[in-house]
Amino acid sequence: MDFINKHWGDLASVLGFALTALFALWAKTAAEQARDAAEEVRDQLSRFDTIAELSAAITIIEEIMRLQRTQAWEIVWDIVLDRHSILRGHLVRSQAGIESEALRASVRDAIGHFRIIVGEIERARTEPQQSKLDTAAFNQRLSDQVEVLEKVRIDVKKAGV
Amino acid sequence: MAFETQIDRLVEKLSDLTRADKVVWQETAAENSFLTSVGQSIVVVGRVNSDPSAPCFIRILDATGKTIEEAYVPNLSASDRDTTMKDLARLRTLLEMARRNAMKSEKVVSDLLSSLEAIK
Repeated sequence: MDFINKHWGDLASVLGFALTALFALWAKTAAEQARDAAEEVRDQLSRFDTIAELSAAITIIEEIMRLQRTQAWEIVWDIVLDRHSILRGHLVRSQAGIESEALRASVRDAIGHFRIIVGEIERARTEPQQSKLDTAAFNQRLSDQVEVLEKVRIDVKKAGV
Repeated sequence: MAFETQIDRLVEKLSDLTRADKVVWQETAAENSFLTSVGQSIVVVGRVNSDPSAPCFIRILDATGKTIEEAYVPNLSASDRDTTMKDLARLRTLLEMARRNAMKSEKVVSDLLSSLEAIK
């Protein structure tokens, strides 16, 4: 008791310091938790965006395949080229929300495949070789890429579970 | 390093890695064109048409599909015909290896041989 009476000032300082440290620690933890939560929300939104971009890309590929099946190139190639441009935009944007390098590489490969198809169409258009456009081969590649992108979409979805 | 030398090294390196099965090539919608993804880039090798003697090309695309660089051989300048023919041979070799890699030819032929050897 005597000790407390003599050193109450020191004890109060120590207690004050301990409380301050505890409060600072709690505040830091709260800030970290808030930051983690914000990051989680941001990642979740980014995943949603990526899934939406990939879904839109798959829808466009299916539309391109339908257009190509008409074989009416002179009527559809402007639309097909336009769709390819939109498709590329979706795929480029989708890469931003994909964490796995392997999945990003799959999307890059798909972009490469579509670039080659666009090149073939542009060449046929400028060098009047429409009849040489191999619609079946184009649709086969497009169909392969739908499978690849579908797999990427599923994997991105799973990463969010 | 001169740009031509860089392309040369690229063809050589890709050939080595393809030979070692460390690069995976894919068939594309264009006949005689094959692509592979390396780092952040896409490399396409091919022939400009189906004629076996047609010029070959190598094209580098970025991650957005934009063509960053492309090189064609032969360059028909008479002064460097020897170099050109060497480049063409090298690129043709790479193209042939890319085709085999994409079509998994070695495995198919190997399986075929095994099946044939199993027939007594």
